[in-house]
Amino acid sequence: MKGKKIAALLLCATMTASLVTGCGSSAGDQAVKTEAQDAAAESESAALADADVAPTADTSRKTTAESDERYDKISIGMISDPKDLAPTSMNGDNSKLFIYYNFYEPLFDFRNNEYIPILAKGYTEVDDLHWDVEIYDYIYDTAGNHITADDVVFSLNLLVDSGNAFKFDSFKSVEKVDDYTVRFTWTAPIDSLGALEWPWCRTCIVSQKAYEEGNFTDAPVATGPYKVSEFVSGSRCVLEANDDYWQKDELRDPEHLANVQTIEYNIIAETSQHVIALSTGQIQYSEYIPAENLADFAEGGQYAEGNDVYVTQGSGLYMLMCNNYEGKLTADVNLRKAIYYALDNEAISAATGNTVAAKALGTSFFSDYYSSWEENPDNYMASCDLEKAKEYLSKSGYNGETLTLLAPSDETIKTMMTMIQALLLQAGINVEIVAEEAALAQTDMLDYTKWDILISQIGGGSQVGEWNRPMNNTEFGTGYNMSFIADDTLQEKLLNVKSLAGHTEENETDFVNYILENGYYYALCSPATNSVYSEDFATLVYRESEFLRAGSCDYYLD
Amino acid sequence: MRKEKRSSLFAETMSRIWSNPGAKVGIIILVIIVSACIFAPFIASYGLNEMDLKNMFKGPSAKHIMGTDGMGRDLFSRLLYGGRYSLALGICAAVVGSVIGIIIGSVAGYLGGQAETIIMRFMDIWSSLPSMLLCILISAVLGAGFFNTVLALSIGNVPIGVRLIRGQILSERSKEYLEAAESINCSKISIMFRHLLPNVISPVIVDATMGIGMTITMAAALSYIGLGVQPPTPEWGAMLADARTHILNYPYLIMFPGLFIALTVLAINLIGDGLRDAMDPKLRK
Amino acid sequence: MGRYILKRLLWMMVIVFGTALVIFTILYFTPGDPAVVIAGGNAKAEDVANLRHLLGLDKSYFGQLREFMYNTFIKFDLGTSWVYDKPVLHELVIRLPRTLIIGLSAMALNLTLGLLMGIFAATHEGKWYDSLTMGIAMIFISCPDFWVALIMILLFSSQLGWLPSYGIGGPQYYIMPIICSALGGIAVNARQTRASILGVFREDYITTARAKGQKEGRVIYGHMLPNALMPIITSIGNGFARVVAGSAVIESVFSIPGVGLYLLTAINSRDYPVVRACVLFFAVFTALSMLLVDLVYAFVDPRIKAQYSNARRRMK
Repeated sequence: MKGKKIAALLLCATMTASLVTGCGSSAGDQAVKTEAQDAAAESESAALADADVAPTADTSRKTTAESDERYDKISIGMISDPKDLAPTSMNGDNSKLFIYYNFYEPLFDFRNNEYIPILAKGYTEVDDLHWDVEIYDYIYDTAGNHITADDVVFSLNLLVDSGNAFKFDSFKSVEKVDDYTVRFTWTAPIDSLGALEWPWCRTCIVSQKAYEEGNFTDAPVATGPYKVSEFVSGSRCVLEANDDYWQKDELRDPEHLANVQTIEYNIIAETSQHVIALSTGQIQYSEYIPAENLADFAEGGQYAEGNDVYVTQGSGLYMLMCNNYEGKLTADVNLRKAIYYALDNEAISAATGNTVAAKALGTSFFSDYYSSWEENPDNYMASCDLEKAKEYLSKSGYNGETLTLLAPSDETIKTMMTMIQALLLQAGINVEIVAEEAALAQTDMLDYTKWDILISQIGGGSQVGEWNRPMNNTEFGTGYNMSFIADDTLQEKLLNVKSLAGHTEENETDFVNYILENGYYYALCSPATNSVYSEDFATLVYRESEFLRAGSCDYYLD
Repeated sequence: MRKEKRSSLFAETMSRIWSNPGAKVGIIILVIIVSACIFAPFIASYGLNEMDLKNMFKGPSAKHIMGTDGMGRDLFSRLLYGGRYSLALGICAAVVGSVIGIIIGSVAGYLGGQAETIIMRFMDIWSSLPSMLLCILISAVLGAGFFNTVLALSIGNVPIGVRLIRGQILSERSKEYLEAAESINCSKISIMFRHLLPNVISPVIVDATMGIGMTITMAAALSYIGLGVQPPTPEWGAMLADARTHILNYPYLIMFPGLFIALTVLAINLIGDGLRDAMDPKLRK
Repeated sequence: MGRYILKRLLWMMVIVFGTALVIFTILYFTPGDPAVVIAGGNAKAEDVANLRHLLGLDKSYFGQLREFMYNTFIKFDLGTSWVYDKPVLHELVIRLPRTLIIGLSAMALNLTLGLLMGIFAATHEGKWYDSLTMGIAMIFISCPDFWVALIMILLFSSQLGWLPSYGIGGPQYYIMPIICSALGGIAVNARQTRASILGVFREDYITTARAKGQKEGRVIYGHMLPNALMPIITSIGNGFARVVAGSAVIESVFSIPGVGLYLLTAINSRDYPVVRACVLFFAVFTALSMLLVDLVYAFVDPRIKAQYSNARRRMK
């Protein structure tokens, strides 16, 4: 009896004490103080000053680059589960883009807006609608099956039949010309950048015989520099180097190497657990480190020994848009601009901790992003201007109605939404947050009654590719684009910058100015990739600048 | 006359609870927490959503006794405001679940026969879906938000209440006072709610009380897996969930919300335990 | 007895059938179009329509229901996951052992500790260590399990580096998940044990045994415990049913690829074949454990046993 009483009394005492000390003047309910980071944060960023510099190999040490030896084993932390390894489900989960290219190979890789031949030797344009692709005549998969034109045709049709052949709009059919040549038939002349990225670069080529005999969901057999030795769905995927890689050493693509004998992908759902795993040496690489933990791995940090930090800006972009459907409050350009001017990207990005604030309508990651856009006086993304926001608000027909802010419920986005709500309230705009489970949000954003303001995470292989999804009004089959705009001028300008001929700085700038003028879109921030890597990495090699190719990195051997 | 008896029964129960040391501690803790939450605006030194990006992730100090979170919001103030949501969630869900359970259970228990069989088999199906699973499904169907979460949380409690009430009614059904009531032509509904229910309700009250605690924990778990109230609502579970990325560098962000949940649930369970002892006729001396 | 079991099994089939109907209907009306989700953020409207057709989502409610019921109950085919691209049964069989290891060990742990604590508290009723024991049990049940899990990770993985904090592997991977899943049950069992022992205390036969001058130890372990442990059987049954169903949260904290996490990800990605199969599986599992409890009761409790044999005699 006494024990319980004492424990309870202690608890009571703490509670009461906290209540007493908690007494004080109550400040305003909603307020944001959004100055730059304080001194502590600055010193933290000083430690991370060289974090955005990619590691360069120390030439005095022995690396895998000049040796035939392989590094022994590398473990990589992944945040989501690839679920299966089937060749037809590449766009299922983001983690597949890390894992798949180790054992599956496509005809071409897409690098710097160019098609780099991998299984293909090259392509010839027979005419506008027919292109021939020739493949090497000595391709073998890890089970020894010879890959021929039949297998290429089979693989493409396999993907098309599975219903997962997205962005195949240009693709009509493919047929065998001879044993090592296939002919692609297009639906229209290929005139836009990256149009063949999916049929050429994201179609895994496998042997028909192996596919029909094997179980590709767990143990795929393909031509890549690695083969799958163990796959435990939801837990890990272990790869071993393919000693009999088909390509001759001198022709081998630098991103299709096998510098490490064993690659293990560990699926760890919680980011904080990535930190623990790195600090205890269970994994050697992770790019999901919370920003606040980066300093621990940088010089002087508690886990600095043996680890280093590399921070890059990803290609993704969190885009905010207003619903332009007729009759919506946000169909009023003045209200839209009031919203945009009230937002402060620096503050939003600071609160999330793992994003980089956007300065103009795009992601500086891309080579077709031009920093001159940031200088435009009408660029409402460059700064937060409460005066202007209030000026636009008074011109609009807004009278204190509550606007619905819809977005998928993910930690970063929730933080952004909370900030946005507070920032808009400062300008006198009331916002209600609706953070929905991703599945629900993806469905609800197609319904104009469900939202006034939407945040969507978009991505692409280039700036114009990234713009396509929210702005193109053919994406949803409704005649409207993602923000329910049906503006022919916008569509025309978009198609123009997307085409091979129209993809110029001048056209893009004109397009951005048109959007600024009409207050159509607002770029919030881009996710940053916070990587921590073991110091045994001499270099880091990324596919499409984003997905680590562990086999192609160089490692120190001494 | 009956009223007098009822109130004396109530007073007797209350005094018996108060004489139970565990329950007494529970009541004291709960009163402190509840009043702190109700009077949050007077106690909290900062606003509910008052952000200060210059002071984010500040550990506990004189200025912020429980520190600040990733947006520089005062944790203690948010916990006090958040208690309103968590407690309301727990109480509403337990009450809603029990009331639905009582209605269905008493209908089944009193009607008997085919109707009872059908209702009870339906309850079998209902309870063969585990409550956490139902909760996850229902919140996925209805979406986040306070009332949807209440509904999702209460649904799992229904079959338990139904079973309890029906079991009690079965044992009461044969008793004399019912025959007496029937013989003076009381309507079935009147018999059920005016005579039967008051005699069988105490286990349900105990169950509902214990259910509040369970529900608060379950609501927290629901928020943890991303199906809870909308941000920036400072529900305790949601605060815990938000803080889990910061567990290594700022562990106080998960310690305090967890402590508040644990303390509240502990208090409620202690009271429920005392209530059970107090209402159990076998233990009456 | 045989008739009774048969009757119960028949009811079980009805229940499972009913569950299938209910879960199908709930999922059918769940907002969030599976095809949109599975197709991902890059798919165009035509791609989504195409996928919807391939998945059979363009059929009517009754069309889909008929197909689902036919496949499940006539062909005994639980279907293929829309997301994982492999048969649900296959994945369930792989994942189930992990969930069972955690669940069953947690049950064994909470049963042992719960019984010990309950007996200890009951035999020292009214003394301060009775209150202390029950107070500890109460604290166990009041702490959210995932919160305890986070604190344990912080302590044992991050600070001390003793235990791995995620994934599966050797026995050390299961220690923390088992402890966290056991906490609530310890309290339930301890309270149950204590209450029923105290209930038995007041029974006449105990007084008789004491009056006969039997030793206190013999009274407790020979007479009281066997009778007092009856209600524990129910709590074991409930615990057994919760083993599978309650696993989602702990599995997600520790990144353990078990059945609970499988269901959770399936709900999030609207992978209906997986959700339906898991729910049906849970339903069968729950119903079976309940049946088992009742049977054990029938064997252990002479009164209930007598009822059955009486019934049989009457039938003859």
